[in-house]
Amino acid sequence: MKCSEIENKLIAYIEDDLTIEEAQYIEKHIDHCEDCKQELVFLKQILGGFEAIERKQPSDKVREGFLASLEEEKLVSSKVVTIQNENTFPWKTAFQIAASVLLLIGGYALGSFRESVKSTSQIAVLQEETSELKQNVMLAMLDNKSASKRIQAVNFSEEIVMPETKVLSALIDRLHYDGNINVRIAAAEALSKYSENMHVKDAFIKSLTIEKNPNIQIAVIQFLVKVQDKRALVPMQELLDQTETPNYVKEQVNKGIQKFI
Amino acid sequence: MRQIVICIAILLGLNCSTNAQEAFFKESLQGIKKVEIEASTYMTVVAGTANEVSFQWGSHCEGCKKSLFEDEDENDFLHEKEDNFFHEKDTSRKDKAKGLKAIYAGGEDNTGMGMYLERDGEVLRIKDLKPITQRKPFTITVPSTIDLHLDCGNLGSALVKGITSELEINSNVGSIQLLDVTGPITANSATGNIDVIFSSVSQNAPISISTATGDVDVSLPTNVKANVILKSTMGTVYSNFDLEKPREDGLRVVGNTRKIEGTLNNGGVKVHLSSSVGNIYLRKKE
Repeated sequence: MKCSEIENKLIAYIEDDLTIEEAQYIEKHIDHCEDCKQELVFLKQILGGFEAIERKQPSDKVREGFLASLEEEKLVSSKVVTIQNENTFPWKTAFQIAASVLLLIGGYALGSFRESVKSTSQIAVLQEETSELKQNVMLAMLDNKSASKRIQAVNFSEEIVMPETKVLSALIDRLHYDGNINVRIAAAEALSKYSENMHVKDAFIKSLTIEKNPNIQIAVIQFLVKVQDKRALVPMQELLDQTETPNYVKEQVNKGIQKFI
Repeated sequence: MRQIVICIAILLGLNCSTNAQEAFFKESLQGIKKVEIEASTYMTVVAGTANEVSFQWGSHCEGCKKSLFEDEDENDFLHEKEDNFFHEKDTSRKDKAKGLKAIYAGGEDNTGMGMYLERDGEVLRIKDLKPITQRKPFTITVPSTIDLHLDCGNLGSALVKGITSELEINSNVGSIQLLDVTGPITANSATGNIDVIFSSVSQNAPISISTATGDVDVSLPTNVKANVILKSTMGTVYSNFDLEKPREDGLRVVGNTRKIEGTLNNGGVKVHLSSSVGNIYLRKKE
């Protein structure tokens, strides 16, 4: 056995890790090999030095710090464990669905926003068209043979926000010439709303001169007194002079004349 | 027992046949949607099943409440007309008219009954040419779904029962009574009272009833959906419906020209009742 091989086994020899035969062989070799003997002594010294160093105990602070951090770690890890155990909810899928729903809503919102921006002008046009449609429907219905339908048309005019002149003149026609008294009453009521309109005032003045029905006469007088149209005084005086005017109409005329300032 | 039942049935049958007077005038309503009748007499209009309009003398309205036609004195007075000096049944005067044709100011007598009849598209117009002084009351039977326009002239009045289509009625002095109707109704009278009892209320078109000096008395089913407008210029409005809502500012509405507006069962068809001098009564139908 060469010296180099012996040297490799010297540590094992010191530690008594070799078989008896190997150990005997190494002892024989060392007896007559000075190099190996020196090597053995050197090794024994190093290993003996290791053992001579005192094993240092970690201080109590280190121990406490470690235990504390261990506890912390335990808590954290136990939390994670509980979440994982109790919530089998598929978070990932849920988030995916939520994301896709959000995307859909977002897309719709964006789309509708764009649409609304675009169609604001279109809506304005449409509103104008519906208003016109309403007026046309109303005008057509005003010529209906059925008195109830004509009253319905007159009532319908109240829904038109800004009626055109043709609507007002159609209503005025009804006030003056409709054969049915109830239609004329409805027309008078509908027209009473346009107290600022000159055509309407003229129409009421004319109605006062041609109307024979006391209900409408009273409604017309009340309107003209309300708007303080002094032109009404002449036809009102005429009503007072006419013998066929019922007394209760005359009473209303007198009341009305007093209210003119 | 069986014999008794048969006897009763026969008696009932006889009773019916004696009650049901022969119609003196009939006209088919093929292709007709609206009947316009102008007559200055006491008219009773009832619903029938045949698609025709038929006229009978007298007032035949089953289940009608006391009407002016059922007043015995009134009927006696009207029956006397048959022997009236002015009446056609006066035989000596009838002889005088032999070979001559009656001419009426109101139009041509094309029915032989003193009535003018005209078909105008879907409208059948019947105009009574005789004045009330020469007319007995008559009953008109029409299908309940035909639209009716009754013009009672100056002195005529009308009683209508069970017509469920559109009614348009005007009278001057006479009263208007409408029973078991649904509307749409347009009724006006100058001095007559207007009484209406609705069986239900059609939402198709507005109801408008007005008088100058007469009272307006309307009964509506409690579940009716309607927007009611009640206006009496010089009279009073009465109702047992809960109509007047308190104003938001807590003030009371004043002024004699005010309209009373209210919604029944969240609103619906417009019901407009107005009178200048008369009162307005809006009742819950019992």
